[in-house]
Amino acid sequence: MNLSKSIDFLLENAGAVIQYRLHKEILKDLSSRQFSISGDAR
Amino acid sequence: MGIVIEKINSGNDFGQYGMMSVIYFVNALEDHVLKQNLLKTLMGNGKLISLLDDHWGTENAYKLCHWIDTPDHPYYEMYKEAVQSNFIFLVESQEQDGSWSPNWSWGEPEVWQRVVTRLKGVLTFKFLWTLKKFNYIEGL
Repeated sequence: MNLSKSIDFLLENAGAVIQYRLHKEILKDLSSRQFSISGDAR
Repeated sequence: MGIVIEKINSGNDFGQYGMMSVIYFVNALEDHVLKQNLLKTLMGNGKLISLLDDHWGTENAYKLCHWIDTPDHPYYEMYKEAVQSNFIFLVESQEQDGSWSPNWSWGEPEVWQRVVTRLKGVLTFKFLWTLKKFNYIEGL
């Protein structure tokens, strides 16, 4: 299974909510600062 | 809300698409006892396997791991073998671009073309999320 391709696909094609959840729940690379900037992802 | 609960308790045959809606409903319930009772009615006799796997096998639009999406699920042990088979199928059916696609479509082709990429995103996230929960992906 190619994990990096799946992540690239989501980063390029998924909607804002899915991208937000990808960062928060899978990649875990989202800071609270980034969350407040990308408010449309809520 | 009462109508759905009544339908579940009366043994309504939801089919795979109806069951998908029902599980979203049950998962959102705050009443733990009610939730466990409804899950028992829906899944307690193992019938989800026959609903999902007997008719369409792993090509089914919705996978068992849509329902049992964490190892903490109260019915994981009962459905463990089928869930693990789901994971093998998911790994094998990943597309070249890294996504998973719905195996169904609806509406006019031009409409479908506009929504399918977003749907692929929803499915791909859901499957990654679930595989991660079960520690099925190295590096996550």
